[in-house]
Order: sequence, then structure tokens, then C-alpha cells
Amino acid sequence: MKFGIPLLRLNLLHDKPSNLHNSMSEYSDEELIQLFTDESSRHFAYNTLVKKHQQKAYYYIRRLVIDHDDANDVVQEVFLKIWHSLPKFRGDSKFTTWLYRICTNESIDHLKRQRKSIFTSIENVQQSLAARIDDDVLYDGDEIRKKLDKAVLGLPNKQRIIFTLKYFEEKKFSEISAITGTTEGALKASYHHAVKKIEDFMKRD
Amino acid sequence: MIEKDHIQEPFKVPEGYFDQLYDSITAAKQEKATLFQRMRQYTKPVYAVGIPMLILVLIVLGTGLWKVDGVPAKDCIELSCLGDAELEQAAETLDLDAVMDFAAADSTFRIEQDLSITEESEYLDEL
Repeated sequence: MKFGIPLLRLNLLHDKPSNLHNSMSEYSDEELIQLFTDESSRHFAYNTLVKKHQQKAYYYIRRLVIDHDDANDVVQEVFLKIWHSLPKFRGDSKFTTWLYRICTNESIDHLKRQRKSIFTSIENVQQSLAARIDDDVLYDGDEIRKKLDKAVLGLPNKQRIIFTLKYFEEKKFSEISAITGTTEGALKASYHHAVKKIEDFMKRD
Repeated sequence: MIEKDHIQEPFKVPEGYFDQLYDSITAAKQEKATLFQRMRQYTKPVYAVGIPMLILVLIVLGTGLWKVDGVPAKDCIELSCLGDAELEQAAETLDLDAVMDFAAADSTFRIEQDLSITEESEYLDEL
């Protein structure tokens, strides 16, 4: 096991929409983006992209903002942004990379808006989110998982995003580099520091 | 040690949430699309009528404000079209000051054109 911390399986496919058509999953993101450029198939392409990616986007955002209602607001903002910006998407990166970048930026903006004053750091907001985990009725992690999530919330903002993308979202460093705009070397160093901090936190008590 | 496979996602969502989320996102997108279409529908006639109107207003304001030697351009245009007799008649109906101002402006022009002072006074006498 890597770095000696618990590896938790993310069951992203639970609560799958019942009306997800098989035909929808046959389209690749590239094909759907191509279909989006045509006025007649634009809505179909967009709706299919939403169906394909809404759960992944939601859970990633939820891990960053913790609260379900906040995650709900942010994920809707993200997909509206995609609706407006998709015609400008050049395809230099994968669609999912672009999606994760928008999710990250929107989540950070949301956390910034939650600050009580401009002098409050995002880290302070994250610490208040850690306290919220205990009261959240839509959170049912066991003690060890709760402790892991609190440890992640105690990380500096950038390390937290990198750790979330690598550990929970299982992204490669090359993709995280494209999402965050940070070099792979710097990412690996940040991830290493994050893991060390989490290990120390987990060993306490 | 806990294997990843043994633990479920701890962040839960209300039942049927992702169906609702899908509906909300696609509805919000359509609302925005309709709003933009409506805006385009309304802005086209606004531009079609508004821009010529604006140009007209600017012309009217421009000729109203533009002065030639202190005489409003619109008066100069009106008076310069008139013959001597008509000008005389116009003096009775139009604002006399405006006519005199025009004459003064016209005389300045004539002086600049090397007309003699006599000719100039004759011209003013005619008026």
C-alpha cells in the first residue's frame, strides 16, 4: 500500500440515473464536442456530456466544499459555464481535464466567497468545514474515514487539491499538472508533503 | 489497514438527486438560451430603428449648435437661399436679430473677399 494510508474505494456510480441510455455512453467526449458544434445536435451533445460527467464533477466538488447544497450550487455553475464556454474549447487538453479545471476554480471561488473577511484565509474556511463533517446528515463515513477527511481539510489549499485529485480521483500527475497548471516535479513534492502530514495526523491519538 | 474496495463513498446525496441535478442543469441551460434568443429578438429592431434615429438626432443637434461667425448654421442655410427681396420679406417674419447677424457674418465674408467698404455699406443699406 502506498504511503501507508488507507486506500478507499470511491463508489462513484451509486445513485446512477435510471434513464441513462446505453446509446449515450457510446459517444466519446471528442465526438460529443464535435456534435456540439452543430446547431441541430448541440442540446443532445450537451445533455449527454452532463449525464456522463455530472457525478464525477459533483463528488470532486463535494470533497472540496463538503456541504451538499454548496456542491449542488457549484456543480450547476460549472455546467452552465461549460454550456457557454464549450464553443471556445480548443481541444488542446482532454474534456475531463478542462472539466476538472473548471470544477477546481469554481470550488476555490466558492470557498473564497465563504470567507468572513478578505483577511480570512481559505485554510480557515476549510477548518470550519472539518467541524461541519460531524453534523452533516449526508455524510456517513466511519471514524477512520472521518479522520482522513478531516486530515485532508487540514492541508493547505493547493496540497489539498493535489491530494484530492491524486488519491480520491486517481488522476495521473501529468493530468493533475494540466488541471492545476503546476509542473509535475512540484506536484510530486506537494503530494509527498501532503501524505506526510496526513500520516502524522492519522497517527495522532 | 483498510482496502479501498471495503469502504463506500461517505458523501451521500438525497435519493434521485442526480436525475434532479440533470433536469436542473439542462433546464437552466435552456432558460439561459431562451433569454439570449429573446434578447437577440428584441435588440435587432432596437438597433434597426435606434441607430438611424440617433444619427438624425445628432444631425439636428449638430446643425442647431453649429454656428458660423456666431450665427446658427440653420439660419445661415435658410437665409443664404433667399434672394434680396425675399430676404427683405424674411426680415419682417424672421427674427430680425438673426437676419442682422447673418448680414454681419456675410459682410465679414465679403470683406475677406476684398470687397470695398462702400460696396459693403451699400449692401447693408439694401438690407
